[in-house]
Amino acid sequence: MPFEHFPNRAVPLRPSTTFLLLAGLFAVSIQFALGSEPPAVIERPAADSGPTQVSVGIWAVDISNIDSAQQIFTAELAVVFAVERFSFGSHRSGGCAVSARTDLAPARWHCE
Amino acid sequence: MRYPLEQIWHPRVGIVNETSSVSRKFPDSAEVDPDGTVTYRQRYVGAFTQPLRLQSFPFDRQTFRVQLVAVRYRPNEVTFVPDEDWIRNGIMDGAGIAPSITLPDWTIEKWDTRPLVYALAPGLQYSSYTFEFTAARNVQNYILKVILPLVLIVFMSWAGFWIDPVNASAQISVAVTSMLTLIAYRFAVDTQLPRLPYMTRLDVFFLISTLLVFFSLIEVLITTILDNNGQTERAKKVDRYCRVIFPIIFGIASIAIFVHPRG
Repeated sequence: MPFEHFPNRAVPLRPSTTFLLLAGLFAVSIQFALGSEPPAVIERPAADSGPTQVSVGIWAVDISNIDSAQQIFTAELAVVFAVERFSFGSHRSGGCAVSARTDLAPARWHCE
Repeated sequence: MRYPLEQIWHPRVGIVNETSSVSRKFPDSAEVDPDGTVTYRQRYVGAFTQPLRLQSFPFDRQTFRVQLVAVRYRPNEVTFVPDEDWIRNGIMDGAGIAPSITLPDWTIEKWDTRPLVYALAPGLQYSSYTFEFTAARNVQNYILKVILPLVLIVFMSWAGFWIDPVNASAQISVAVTSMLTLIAYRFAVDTQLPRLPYMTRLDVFFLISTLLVFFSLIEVLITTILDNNGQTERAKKVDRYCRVIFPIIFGIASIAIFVHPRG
């Protein structure tokens, strides 16, 4: 019998060890699930103070082709969007400012 | 300081008419000044869709548009305005086109920016901002490469009117060759335009030219039949009339097709 030379090496686990392993696995899976959630939508700052004004600058660096048959045009555009501090509440005397990286979320805009 | 876009509020701007080929060259991050001004710079490179009205092709003038839309925000939540810094620096309306663009067969005439309301569906209206430029097609290229050869083919078909009706085979070969040349030429030019449900000016010109070449073939057949029936003088008379009538019809048609303002 060829299998006689391979003894059974299965080691029985204690119930407490099994429980700990399962709990650890559960915790890790929850962590992964939380990590895969899409980031929360950041609400518009000072939404009660009227519309947020976004300044736009557009510069067509190049327009290289107009294809009448395909009805498309090929372009290279440089676009700059700017949201000024005044947009976040002009009634506030000092406007709003960002003080630190963690304070960037709209609820944490630092207003004087 | 620079921050990823997902960490700060931004108007979630998308381009309505971008194709899948449009790429963004800069990272999706914004600069935040100490005074709180948030600036996002992006460079979009690729193709943008634009429905064209080609009734006047190739004598057409088109308006091209890049429409930015604040996805999720209505006009009472986000408003777009031209950048004041750019205007102060001499860039009218906060937009412009570089003078060194490489567009070979069009001339940019003007450009404009304006805020718009983008209606995705009834009741779904979003704040939008559009950059438009108007360009006129350089028609010299089409005159020299398309229209002039076509005119020469039509002229060629009239050569039969100057050939004696006694030489019927020569007359017929000229007319048939003109017809076949015109058909082959039509196929070569067709690739430059989409399949349109209407006729362009060039299509109308092609149609008139084809009809004239076809009628010159018919005329050659008539004079040949007259000659075969012993009415050679009458056949020559028909030829003489056609030498005048065909060019007059062609001239009037050409003026009617091409001499009116660009569309």
